[in-house]
Amino acid sequence: MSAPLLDVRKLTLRFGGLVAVNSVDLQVRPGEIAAVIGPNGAGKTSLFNAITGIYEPTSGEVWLHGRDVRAPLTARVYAGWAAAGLLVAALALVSVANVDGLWAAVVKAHNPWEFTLTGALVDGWRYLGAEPRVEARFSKFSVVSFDGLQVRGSHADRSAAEHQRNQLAGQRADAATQKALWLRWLAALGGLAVGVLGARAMWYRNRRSPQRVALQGVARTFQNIRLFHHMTVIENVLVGMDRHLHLGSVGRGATANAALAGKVPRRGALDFALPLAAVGALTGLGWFTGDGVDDQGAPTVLLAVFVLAALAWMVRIFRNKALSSAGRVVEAVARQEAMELLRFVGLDARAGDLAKNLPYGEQRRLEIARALATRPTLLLLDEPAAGMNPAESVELMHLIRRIRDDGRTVLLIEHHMRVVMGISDHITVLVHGTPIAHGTPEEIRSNPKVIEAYLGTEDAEAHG
Amino acid sequence: MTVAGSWRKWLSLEAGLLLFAVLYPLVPFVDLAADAADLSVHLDQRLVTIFIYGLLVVALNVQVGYAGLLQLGVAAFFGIGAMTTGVVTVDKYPFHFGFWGALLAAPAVAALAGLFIGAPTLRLRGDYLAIVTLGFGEVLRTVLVNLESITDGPRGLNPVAEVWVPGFVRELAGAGDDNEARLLVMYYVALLLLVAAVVLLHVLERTRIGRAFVALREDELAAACMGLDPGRIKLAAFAGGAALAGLAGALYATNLTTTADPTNYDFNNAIMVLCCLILGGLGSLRGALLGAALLIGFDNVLSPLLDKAIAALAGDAQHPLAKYSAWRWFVFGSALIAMMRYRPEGLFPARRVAQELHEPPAGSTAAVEPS
Amino acid sequence: MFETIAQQLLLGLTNGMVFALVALGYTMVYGILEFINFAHGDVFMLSAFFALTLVGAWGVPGLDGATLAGVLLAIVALTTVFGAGVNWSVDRLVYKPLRKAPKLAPLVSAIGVSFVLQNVGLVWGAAKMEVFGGGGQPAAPKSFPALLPTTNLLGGSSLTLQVKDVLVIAASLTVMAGLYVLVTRTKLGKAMRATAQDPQTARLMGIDVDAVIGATFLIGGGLAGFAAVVYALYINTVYYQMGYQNGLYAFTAAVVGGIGNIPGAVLGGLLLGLVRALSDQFIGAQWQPAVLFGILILILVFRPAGLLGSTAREKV
Repeated sequence: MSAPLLDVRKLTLRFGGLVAVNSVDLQVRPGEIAAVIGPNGAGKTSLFNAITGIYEPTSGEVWLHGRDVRAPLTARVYAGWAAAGLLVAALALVSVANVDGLWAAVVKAHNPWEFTLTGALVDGWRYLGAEPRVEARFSKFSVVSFDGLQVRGSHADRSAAEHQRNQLAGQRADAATQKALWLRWLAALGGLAVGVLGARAMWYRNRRSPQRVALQGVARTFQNIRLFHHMTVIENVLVGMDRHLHLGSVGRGATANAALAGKVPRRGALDFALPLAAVGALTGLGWFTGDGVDDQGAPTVLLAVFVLAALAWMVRIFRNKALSSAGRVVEAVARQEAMELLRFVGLDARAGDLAKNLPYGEQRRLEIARALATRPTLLLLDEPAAGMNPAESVELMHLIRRIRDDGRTVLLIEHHMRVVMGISDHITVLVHGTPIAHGTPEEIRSNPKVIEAYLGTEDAEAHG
Repeated sequence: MTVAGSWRKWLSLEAGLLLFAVLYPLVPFVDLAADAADLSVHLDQRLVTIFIYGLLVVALNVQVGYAGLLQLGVAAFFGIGAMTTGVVTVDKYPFHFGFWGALLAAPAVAALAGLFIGAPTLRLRGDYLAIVTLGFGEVLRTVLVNLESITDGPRGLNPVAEVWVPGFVRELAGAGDDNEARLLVMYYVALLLLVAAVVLLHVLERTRIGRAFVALREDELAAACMGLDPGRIKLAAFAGGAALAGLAGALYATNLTTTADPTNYDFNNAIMVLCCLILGGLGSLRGALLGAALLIGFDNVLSPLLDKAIAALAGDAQHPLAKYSAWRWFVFGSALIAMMRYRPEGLFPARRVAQELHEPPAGSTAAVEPS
Repeated sequence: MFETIAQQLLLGLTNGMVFALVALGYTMVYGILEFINFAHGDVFMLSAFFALTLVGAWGVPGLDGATLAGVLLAIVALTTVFGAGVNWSVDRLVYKPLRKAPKLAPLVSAIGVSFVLQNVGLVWGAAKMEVFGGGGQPAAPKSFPALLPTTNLLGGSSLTLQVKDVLVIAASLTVMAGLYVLVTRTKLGKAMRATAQDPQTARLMGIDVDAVIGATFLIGGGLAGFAAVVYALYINTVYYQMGYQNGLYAFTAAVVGGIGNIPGAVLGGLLLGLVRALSDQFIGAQWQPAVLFGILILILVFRPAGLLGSTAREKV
């Protein structure tokens, strides 16, 4: 037997005092159609929501492809926390040390024409370390205390001032300096702690998310149809395909990859060259005109380059109606793929209609098409046959089988016993959140516990 | 939609206005007429203001209209752009990037600020963002006032580097009239940047990114279940809008040649920009532009004339409330209320946003009930 | 050092009471409608103007003794009714037609109402009354006469605990206790809690949801009106933009405590009042918004549901 594709382990979900899902174990193997049934309020949809990352389970785990669906705690995550910590620490340190004073020490302490980056860094470091420092004041160089309040000496040239400063820095710091240093250390460490803990708290809060589960190959439909109602049918499908469309050079999406395979978009180079030229010309202009270079020739040429490149780029993207020709190619292929999917569920004739204008049964099929567009390995269907007439249900059964035959695994919740019994390989029965039976349709049909739990329910459905 | 159809749509109003805007400084007929009627309008100077605010409204549209984030601190990013421009160009600091360099630096700094504010808050309940951005605007104003040794407090940094004027324009404007030449360059730079932003966003609306925005507005949970990362998309929109607002700020400071009093970047200003957007139509580029033209135009061109007329009527015994500016917020506030009540999609609506505003998407109210 | 801190804590406590009273209005409305009533702070401001008008019209600064106490009580009562009335009318006129609209619509309307009310305050400031400084400068802050006794109860000590501090704290606590009883013990309170939890089900259970919402606005407005008199008597300044900043702080207090949570609003208000007083003393009053904003961000990072808010998943 193959390893399970989806492995739900002792999953429990509590809402306040109510136990919606109680220690459910559920395994779905690749290529099968599995079903979860149970009377209303049995916790089936809650189970789906927990699997797809909408609810955080109270306890228990969800594994996909042999891995926990939650984001793994990798070195990169730790690095991110550390970075957040350093950022907040720097912010706290600078605030406590007085931003104004830092600016005065780093920028204003130099005559504008003498400003260098290294000088600024050294001064900034000295300021934060509450060391005395050298300031340019009028035509002299003064040695001042860390807070700039006391002038310790004044020199005609910088090296003499630096010399005195170094001597002063070597001496034992006075009480005021000590106090300032303590405060700064405290702020930096406090900031570090807040940053790391904050990043950690946010990471844990978002560790399990619907988008993360979706990216691991799980797509779903909803009991109370959640289409993008004001988008057209084909646009709904294109949103489902979204992650396969991106054009990044590193993680190019599958559809984009296929569309561009062997084809370097013909005019793609210009799409980079024009904005680069514009930004380059702008930078050049900044350099030429910034420091009072009064040469009119070169800047005029650069200005012309900037304006022409910007205009040409604007005209290009406006006419292409996509950011680049590569984008256009991918979009065209994506629309073809989306049409194929619509044909697969039998909605190709309605591609241009608004989703909200479709009849109920077609909306359900559109939801399935949208889910399939994400290219899932596991498809979760939440009551796909709800509100369908018998003929539509039969059609739906065929559709689900075809989806399975395409190599996808299906897990569904359903009340129509005919549908469930007709297509499922395995069935799990949930009552009050607790699994009471698991097996093939035949085993379930003859299980006395199931019959007891369902007594009357099927009757009611048959009449409703 | 065919290319031709789209062009025809654009040819209607916008093309005419654009043509007017491009040709206007070359044929200063409006000002001549105004001079003849003894009304000093200086329309070109005021048009520059409208272009700058237009850019700001378009920036806000990225955040509010596209991503559905109610952002009440857009003026803060505007202020960050202006202040960055001041710091990197004034003589007394050593950076001297010049005008063109500031155009690159200001949006970058504003975008960083957007990331910094957005990262911890955008994943939270949507309406918290309103209060966070409102608070951020308030903090920025106090910071600008209080960090006096950097920002020069209420006086503002000046002189900010003027827009650089190429020789041929100087000659074109006539020798000895540097102001005229500068205004001409400023006018076209602002216009070019505004048009560039609009074209870029117009295209963006039609790519998969635009589609993702719509999906996210309609049903965030369903979009997330399709693998779209709501936090990341919103953050991108927030930072992008902040960058555009920063760019507008850079133009603003350059146009005034000072970073001006920090109260220019406070909540009132943010609300005025929001008013423009809502009047024009959330999510609609043409709405954003025309909203800016109408409201900022009204505020800048008509209201001074109105005040002047009232003052002339009242003579010396003028009551402190007998002027338009004392009722300005009443007018803006009532406009917001009336628009939300009777035409929430604005005067020039985007088709989709109009539908969304008239019937809330099913997903937004119906939660996934435990069954 | 110890005395400074104690003194600041006392100041923070009284300030926090005002924040808490205003925050309650935000949190109750949010609890039921999930909507930030931006205009709430301006109801607070208008109420202060109303109280000042009464003070001027009745010539209160000239009174003393039992008459003064009686008139003050009447002013408190009338201003409470005024605040409740304004808040309720705003809801009926502006927010009610938008109940079914997307969330953005009432929020933007509330911002609009806030600006209209501020403008009303500005115009009111031009009233030709002596207490309004003759009305020549509508935007200038008006001074509210100091009517409460300022006798120091801790006579010899260097700490000051004035009679007015005690009055403010006692009155606020009484009102909050009353609100607590109303929400937990009465039928209306039960209906309010039910509506906050699930309006649809509440409606099915026979609760008149609309009346409950109206009552919520009435109570919230009344609290704002009461807070306005307390604030005006304590701080002695009234100006047309006072609603904006105090409203922002009060809303922050509501979020810190856990929005929609009534004890949370009180806790948040007191906490914010204390932090504000301490930061004014040790960091500097000019950094007040930055400090309070920093606290808001910290709360949102570490406890997005607020200190007392339920940790229910907000995704669903």
